[in-house]
Amino acid sequence: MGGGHNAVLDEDCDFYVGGNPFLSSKNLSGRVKGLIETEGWSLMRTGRAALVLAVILLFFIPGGPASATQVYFNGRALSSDVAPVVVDGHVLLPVRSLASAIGMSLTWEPGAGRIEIQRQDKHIVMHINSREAQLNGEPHQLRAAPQLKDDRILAPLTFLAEALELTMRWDMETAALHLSDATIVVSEILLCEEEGRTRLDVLTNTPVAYDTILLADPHRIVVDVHGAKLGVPPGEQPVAAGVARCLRVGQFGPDVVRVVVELNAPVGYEAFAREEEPGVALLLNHAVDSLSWRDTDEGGELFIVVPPTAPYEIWRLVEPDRVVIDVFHASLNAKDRTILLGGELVKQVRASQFLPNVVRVVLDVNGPVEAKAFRQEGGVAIQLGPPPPIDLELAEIEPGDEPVALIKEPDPDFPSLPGVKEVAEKTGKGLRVILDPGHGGLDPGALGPSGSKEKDVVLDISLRLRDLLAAVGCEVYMTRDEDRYVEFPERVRLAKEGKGDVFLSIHANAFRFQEACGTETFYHPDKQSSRLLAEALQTSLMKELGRTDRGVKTRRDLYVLRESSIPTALVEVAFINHPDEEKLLLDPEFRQRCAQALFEGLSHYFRERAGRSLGPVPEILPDAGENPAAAASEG
Amino acid sequence: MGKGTHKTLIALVVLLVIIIIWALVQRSGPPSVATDPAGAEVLIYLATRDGTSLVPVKRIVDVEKVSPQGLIEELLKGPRPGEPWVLPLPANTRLQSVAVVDRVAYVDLSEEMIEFHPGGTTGELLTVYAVVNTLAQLPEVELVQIFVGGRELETLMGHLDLRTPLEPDFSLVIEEH
Ligand SMILES: [Zn+2]
Repeated sequence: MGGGHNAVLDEDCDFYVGGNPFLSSKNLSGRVKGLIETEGWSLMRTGRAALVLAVILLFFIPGGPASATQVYFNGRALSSDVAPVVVDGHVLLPVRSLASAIGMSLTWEPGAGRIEIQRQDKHIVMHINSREAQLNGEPHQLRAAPQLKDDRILAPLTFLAEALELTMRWDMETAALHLSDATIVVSEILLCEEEGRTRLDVLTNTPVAYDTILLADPHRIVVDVHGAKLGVPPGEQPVAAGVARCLRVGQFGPDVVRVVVELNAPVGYEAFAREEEPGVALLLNHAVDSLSWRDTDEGGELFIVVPPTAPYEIWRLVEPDRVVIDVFHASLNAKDRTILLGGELVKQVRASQFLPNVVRVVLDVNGPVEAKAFRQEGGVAIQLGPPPPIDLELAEIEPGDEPVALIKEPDPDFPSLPGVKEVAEKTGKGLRVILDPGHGGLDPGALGPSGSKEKDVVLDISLRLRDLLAAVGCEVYMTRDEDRYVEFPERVRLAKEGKGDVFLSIHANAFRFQEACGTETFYHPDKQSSRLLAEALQTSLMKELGRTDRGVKTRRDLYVLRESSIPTALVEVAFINHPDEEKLLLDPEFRQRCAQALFEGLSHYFRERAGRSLGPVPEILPDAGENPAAAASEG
Repeated sequence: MGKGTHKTLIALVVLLVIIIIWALVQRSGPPSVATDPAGAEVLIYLATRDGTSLVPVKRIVDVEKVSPQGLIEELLKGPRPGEPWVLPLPANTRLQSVAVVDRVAYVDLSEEMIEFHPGGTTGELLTVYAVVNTLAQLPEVELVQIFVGGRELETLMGHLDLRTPLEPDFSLVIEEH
C-alpha cells in the first residue's frame, strides 16, 4: 500500500437490499459451505472464489474503486454510515454514527481535536492525528491515529473493539464486519430428529455469526459460534440420533464456542440461522450406506441401504436407456459406487453424489425395462424386469430436459494447468520443483480469527509460485493444485523416489495464543542441501516480507522432511491466527510477495548448489492480484 | 594406658560420631522435596506465550502422583494464576488412559486434543512435546506415543509424523526465568 492509496469504501453501494441480509445470506453460505466440504469437488471452488472476491470487496483497491462493508452489532445490521473506511492500510470506523448504533456517549472538541468516549465502565480519550490515547486513564499507544475526514471522526477499529471489549469478526463471504458485546452466550445445545433427519440446535441469547466445517477421521461436523462464551458446562456426551453418535462442546479460544458432532458416516448438512429464537441449526443428510444387486427370476433387484424417511424419486432417461433413482437429503457413503453386471437387462449400476444434497443411482440398461421402486426394511428396493407388452408408463422426455447433461460426475483427474501467461527467459529449464501446499479438502489446516483457512491461502501462494517458476521454464509438480485432501504417502511419493530437485512444503502457522507471529522454515538435519535450501528460503522471506524472524530450524519428526529423499524444506510464511498476519495472508498482494520471495529463495539455492540462478522474478500479469486465485477457482 | 585415657578415648569417639552424624545431617540439608512425604517435585512443560519455546515449570505433587497419569493430569491443569506461561494443549483436553510398556508410554487423549487445536507446525510441535517431555522425566519412560480417542495417529495436525514413539526434545526448551 503506497501512502497515497486511500480507498474509501463506498457507503452508497447497494450491496444489500433491505431486511436483514445476514440471516438469509449466511443461511445460504453456511449451507453451501457444508455441502461443499462434503463433496470436495468442483463446488469448493465457488467458496474460494467467494472468499477472494470478498477480500477484494472488503479491502483496499489501490487508488480507488469502492465497495460496501455492512457492519453488524450483536447480529443486527447497522446503517450504512457506520461502514469502515480504510486509510493507509488501517481500518477506521466513523465514531459519531457508531455512538448511537452501539450506545456510547461521544464528546467532541473540534478545537483541540479531542475525542472522548464513554461506554459502560470504559472511558476513552483520543486526539485527531495522534497515536497517544487513554483508556480508563491509562496511556495507550494506537497503531493508527484517529482522523478527521469530510467532517467525520474516524477512529481505529481494532482499538475501539479492544477497548470497548467488543468482539470483531470479518465475514469474507458476505463482506461484513460483525461486532458484538462479548456477552453472547451459548445457552443450550440440542440434538433431535426432524422428519427422520438429525437436527442440531445451538441456542444463543442473540443472533450470532458462525462457521461450520466437516472433518474426517473420525467424521465430524464442527460448528464455531463467533464472539460467544459457553453458558453450559464443557464436555462430551454420547448420543444416538441418526448419524450422530457423540456431541462435544467447549470454548475454542477466548471468543469462539465450538460444538462438535461426531458422525457414523460423512454426511453433508444444511446450516442456517434459527428463526424463532436466536442460534444456529444444522440439518444432517441421510447416509446412503451401500448398494447391492441380486438376480431374480423376473430380472433383478437393486437394494439401496438408506434410512426409511429419506425421500426418493425414480424416473427414466432414454438414448441411451437408463433408470435413475434420486435420493434426496442424502450423502453417498457407499464404498463401492459401481456394480458391473454386463447382464441381459442391466449393464451396470453407478452411484454418485449428483448434487450436494442428492445421491443419484443410475442403472445403464439394454433397452426399455420395467422398473418399480418400493421401500423395504432398511432401504429402497428397485425391481427390474422386461418391459410390459404395451409400454404405457414410459415417460415422455421433453426436448428441454437435456438428460445426458444431467449426469455429472466429479472428475477425479487433475485439471490441466492453466497456460503460462508470459514467456520469460528459460533460466529454469530442466530444474524440477515439487510444490506441496499444506492440508486441503477435509483438512482445513489452521484457521484465522475471521474464519480464513490455511489450506486456501497456501494453495494460492503455491499456485502463484508455480506460475513464476513455470514462466522461467522450471518443471513444476504440485502435490495438489485444487482444494482436495492428499494423504501423506501421496504427497511425498515422488520425493521419496528421488524424483525432483527440490521439495517445498508451504504452510501458514498457528498457536493457541495470538502473541505468536512471524516466519520460520524447517529442514531435516541429516541433509546438508536441505539446510542450504531452508536458509535461502528463510533469508528471502525475511527480506521480502519483513515479519518476525523465527529462524531456520531442524526437525527429524516432520513427516514430509523425514520421508523425502531430495532437498526439502517446509516454510511457515506467517501466523494465520495472528489478526495482523491473517489480514496480510488474505491480501492477494502479500501472497504474491510470498511467492516472489520463495522464487528468489529457490533461485539463490539453485545458484549455490548448481551454479544456476533463475534470474529476476518474471513479470506475469499486471492483475496477478486476483488471477491465480481465480484460475484455481475455475480450474 | 590408664583408665582415664580410656574414658577420654570413648568420649572422643562418641564426640566424633556425633560430629559425623551432625555433618551428615548438615550435608543433606533440609529434607529434599523429592523425598518429603508431603510431596515430590516434578516438572510440567508449558509454553511461552509467543510459541517459541517450552518451559519446564516446577510443581509439588503427592508422591503417589509421580506417575504417567499424575504427570499428565498435572500438565493439563496448565499454568497457575499469575504465571507467564501457557498450556500448549487445548484447555479442555482430557486424559483417557496412559500405559507404559517396555519404556514406551502410550498416552491416549480425548478428541478435544484435535478438535480444539488451532493447528500450525508450531502449535503442533509444542502440544506434542509438552506431553512427551513431561512424561519422559519419569525414569521408566524413554519414548512416548500419542493416541487420540483411542486411535493411533499418522499426524496430529498435518505436520508431525506420529506413527512411531517420540523421544523428548530439549531443543524446544528454555529454562524458567
Ligand atoms: Zn500447516
